Amino acid sequence: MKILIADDDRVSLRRLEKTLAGWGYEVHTASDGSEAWHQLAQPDAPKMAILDWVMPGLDGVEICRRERELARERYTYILLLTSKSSKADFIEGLKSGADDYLCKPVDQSELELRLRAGSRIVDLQESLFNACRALKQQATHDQLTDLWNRRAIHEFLTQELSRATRENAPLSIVLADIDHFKSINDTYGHFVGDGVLTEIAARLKGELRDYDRIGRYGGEEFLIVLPGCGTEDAVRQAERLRAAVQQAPFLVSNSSLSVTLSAGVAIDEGSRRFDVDSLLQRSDLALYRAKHSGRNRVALFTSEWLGELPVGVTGAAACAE
Amino acid sequence: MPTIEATSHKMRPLAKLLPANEPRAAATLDVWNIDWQTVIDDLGGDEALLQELIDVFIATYPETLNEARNALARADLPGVARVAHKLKGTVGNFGFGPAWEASRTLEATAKEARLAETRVTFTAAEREFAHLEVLLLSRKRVASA
Repeated sequence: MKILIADDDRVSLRRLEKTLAGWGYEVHTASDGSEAWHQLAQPDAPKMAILDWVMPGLDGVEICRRERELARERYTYILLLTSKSSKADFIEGLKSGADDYLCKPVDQSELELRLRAGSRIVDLQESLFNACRALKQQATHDQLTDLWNRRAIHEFLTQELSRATRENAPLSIVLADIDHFKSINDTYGHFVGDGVLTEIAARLKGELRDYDRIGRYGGEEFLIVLPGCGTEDAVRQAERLRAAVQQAPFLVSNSSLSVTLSAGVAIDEGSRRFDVDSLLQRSDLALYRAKHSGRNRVALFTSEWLGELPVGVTGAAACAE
Repeated sequence: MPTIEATSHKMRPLAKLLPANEPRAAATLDVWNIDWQTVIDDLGGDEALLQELIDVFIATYPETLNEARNALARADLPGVARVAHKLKGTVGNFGFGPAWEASRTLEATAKEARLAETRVTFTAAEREFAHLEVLLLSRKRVASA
C-alpha cells in the first residue's frame, strides 16, 4: 500500500521512511505541507498519510481540514504526528478531520498496529467505493452495449440543453435506428441480434468526440448528443455514424451480414430553442423521414414537417416494420 | 568537553532549566548519557539506521539552530517557537535528554513571548545540542571501531 509521510524534520522523516519501507509500504515523502498537499491532490495519491502537525507552508491540521472539505470520492486515511501532546491538541487534531493521532517520537510497535488498523479502514472504504461504482454503472448504463441508458442520456441532454441556452451555443441530437433489425433477430436469432447491437454501439462510440455522448434509447435505437454542433457539423457527424455502420459487414455465424442505419437530426440553436421533449420529437420526425425515404440515410428536421404525424404516433412507431 | 558516563536519562530526573521567576542558563548535565539500548530498540535494532540518522542530524541541526538564532535576533518569538518545536521533534529521536528538554523550554519561553528568557533558553539549547553532537559522534566512533 502507498503511504505519504510529510515532515520538515529530516531525521524524523528518514526514520519513518525506512521503518515503513521495512514493513512493506510504498513510501512517498514530502518535506513540507504544500508538497504534501500537492501529492494528495494527484489522481493516484496514497490513500494513507502520516502528517506532521507543524510544518512550513501548510500544517498537518490545515491539510486535514482541506482534505475533508473537498470530500473526495477517494478517502485518505490521515494520521497526525506531532510533538504536541496536550488533550486540547489531541482534540483539535481529531476535529480537523484526522483519523488518528500519535506523539513524537513514535513508538514503532504502536505505529505498526495503528497503521494496520488504518489499512483495514482503507480496504473497507475501497470495497465500499467499488460497490458504489458498480451500482452507479448498473444504474446508468445499458448492460448489453455498455452505452448510457435511456434515463442517463436523457438527463445529459437536459443538462446540455440548459447549458447551450445559457451560453447561447448550438446543440444537436441524432436519433439513429438500425434498419430491419427485427428481421435480423427473426432470421439469425436474438443472440446474433445482440451481437449486432453491441458491434454497432462500439462503432458509433468510436466516431464520437470525447464530449459527445451516446445512449441506447430503445431496443435498436440510439440517441447521440452533440454539444456545440450546429446544422452542418451535426449532419456531417450523423452521416459519419451512418457510414461507420454500413462500411464493413458484420460477421455472423461464418457469414457476412450487411446492416444499415437511419438517422434523424434536430438542432437547437440561435432563435430556435426547444425543451427536451420538443427536440426529441423533432429528431424522431426526422428519423421517420429517413426511414420513409428509403432507409440507410440521414434526414435533418425541418419545420414544414410538423403536423405530418397523427397525434400520439412517434416517428419510430410509424416506421416500425 | 563534558564528562560522559553511562547514566541513563531514565535513571535520573532531568534538571529543571528554568525555576519560576528566575531565568538562568540551563544546568549542564555533564554526567548524562543517551540510553542507547532504548534508542536502538525504538529503531527496531537497526544500527545502520541509527548511524544514518546521526549523520542527518549533524548535517542539519546547525542550520535549524541558525534559523532560531536569526528569528531571535529579529525578536520573532513565534518564529523561535516554531523552530524550537522542530528541534524538539528532531532530538526526540535520540531520547528525552537535556537537548530535548532545552528545546521544550525554548519553545515554551518563546510561546509565552518572554524575550529575555528566550535569549537565555536559546543559549542553553545551543550548549545542549553541542553536547548531544559529542555523544552522537562518540556512538559513531564506537560503532565503526
